[in-house]
Amino acid sequence: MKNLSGGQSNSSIAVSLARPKSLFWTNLGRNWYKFSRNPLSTIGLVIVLVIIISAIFAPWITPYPEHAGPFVDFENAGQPPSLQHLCGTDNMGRDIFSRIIFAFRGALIMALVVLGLAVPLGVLLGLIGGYFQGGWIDTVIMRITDIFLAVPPLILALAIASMLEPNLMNAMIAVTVMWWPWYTRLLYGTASSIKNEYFVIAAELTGASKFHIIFREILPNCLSPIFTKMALDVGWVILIGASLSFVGLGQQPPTPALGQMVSDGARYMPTFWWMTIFPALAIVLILVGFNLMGDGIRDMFERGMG
Amino acid sequence: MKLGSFLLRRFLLSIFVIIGLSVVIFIIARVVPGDPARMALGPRAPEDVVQTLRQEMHLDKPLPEQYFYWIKGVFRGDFGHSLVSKRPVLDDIKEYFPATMELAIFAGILMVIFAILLGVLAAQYKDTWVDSLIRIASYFGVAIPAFVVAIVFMLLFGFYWPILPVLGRLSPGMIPPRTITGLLTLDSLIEGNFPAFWDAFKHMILPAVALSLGGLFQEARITRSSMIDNMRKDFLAAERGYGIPEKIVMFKYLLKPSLISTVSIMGLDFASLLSNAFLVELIFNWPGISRYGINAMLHKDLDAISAVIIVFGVVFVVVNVIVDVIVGLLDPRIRLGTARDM
Repeated sequence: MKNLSGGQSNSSIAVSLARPKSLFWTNLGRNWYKFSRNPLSTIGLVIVLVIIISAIFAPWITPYPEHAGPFVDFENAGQPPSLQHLCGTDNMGRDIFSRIIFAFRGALIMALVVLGLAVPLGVLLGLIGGYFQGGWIDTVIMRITDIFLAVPPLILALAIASMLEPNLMNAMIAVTVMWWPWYTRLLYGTASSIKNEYFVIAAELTGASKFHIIFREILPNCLSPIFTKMALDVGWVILIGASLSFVGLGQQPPTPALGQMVSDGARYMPTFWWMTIFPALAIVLILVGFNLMGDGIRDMFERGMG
Repeated sequence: MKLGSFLLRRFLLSIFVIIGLSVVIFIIARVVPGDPARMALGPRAPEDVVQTLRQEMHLDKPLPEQYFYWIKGVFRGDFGHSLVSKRPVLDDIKEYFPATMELAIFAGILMVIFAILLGVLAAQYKDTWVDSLIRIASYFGVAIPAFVVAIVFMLLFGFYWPILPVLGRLSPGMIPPRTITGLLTLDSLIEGNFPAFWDAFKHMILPAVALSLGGLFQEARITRSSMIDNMRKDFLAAERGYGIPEKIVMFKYLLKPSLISTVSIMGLDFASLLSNAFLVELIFNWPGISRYGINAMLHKDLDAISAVIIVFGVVFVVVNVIVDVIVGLLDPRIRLGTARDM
């Protein structure tokens, strides 16, 4: 970014004084071309869309929507995979395929809520810390960030979730508490380098308020790293959510959750292997989909917008 | 900045981070769940007994004073009492910590060796089927959670193909070696007890592989791309021009600088390896501190949870310093103190 205005001749300064517009929306067609050129990114996008659409329309597209709740049918318990039950039935006779589709809902809501809360908070703190680099605000924000980054998110999220009541809401709170520091650190680095660009200095000289500079001058130029990280993070948030529910600290039965289905099913191995293998495959599918899509978005931004 | 003063700064920052972490975990443990004394004694304990325990635990004092009492104990090695095991938390940690370290170190070694091997192979045979195979494997390797790998191993090796043990650290009936370091493989080697060594080693394989897979493939990809970047550099052509044998060029002049980025993310990968241990130890019934931590969490055993978090915080600080030192040794710009201020 710096070399845009760094060691160039005077004539280019006039150009770089204008705040660069966010190129994302203006170049949507070209970005889509860059994204779709890698077939793996497109596969990822298709997987993600299928997961999202099936989660939204779960009650209408699943063969046994009533099985996503406290449904019991012992006569059909432990059925192997068949045409009636694509992924078999669990120990209470519930259709595992239907339950997996319904479990996508909790997983996606988790990603949506965690990123929806952690990203604005982390971005805000990172912008403030980066803009006031060297001041006491910077020190306070970044040292607190260091503390939260000292332990891997899963470990502290497990600890926080365990001290609250076990449910989806508290799992989301626990993961959110652990997720904002990564964005703070990301934005701190970006913001502290952008604030020395000529267009920011120009805005300062014309008397723009700090609020204007942070949100109208610096923030729009940090969007591509934020979006890239968010795209790559969706899968990881869902994985942490599944890990929490695997040990019983997430969504509680009878509402299905992928981690909880894996750990419940593991008790009936090896005879009823489908009870645990299919939910596990569903987790892998989500992660592969979001990772491939995230890689595509990262390549799109890195190659195109620097 | 010279490596020495860099390390000193890292050390001081680390102490600050650990103390900060202790404040965070203290606040969470004391404020969030309600009354710790009531939780320790259960809902049926008479009120006056609970009141006495509150005084013993200094719960009647203001929060900063409570923290002071607690952290004073922690510095003396007194992490309080575990509600689950009914003994001092420190004793539990001493018993379970080596098992986790043994597993994590072995998994870490597996991760590094195979990551470099696969990365070098993929770079050497760039754009051939070897490269594609490694790339496809890495897409799945990164996306399959460690606990899923562990469960699949359980199913395969526990039931269908029992060539490797899937539970615990030693077979039942095997006499464990005398505790010297706490690492069973090392202790049995020191004693010269080879059957025990072999047994302990076999028990480590499956959990360690499950733990190492994610980081392994990520690091393999990074090794590959940084080797390919470096292959185009002029200094390699210069060395070949001097007539330095190709093998020495490859390993000394190409691989070494290419490993800097691999090692730099090793700290993060080791972090995810250890956090995955929380689920993997549970599945393989590995008597380590992560399984202990999960049990403490499921029983709201506050003193034990706080202690486990602090132990892991210290482990990560140490791991990060080790990673910094290795990067410093690999990167002459840092070693010779010519790098920009970090």
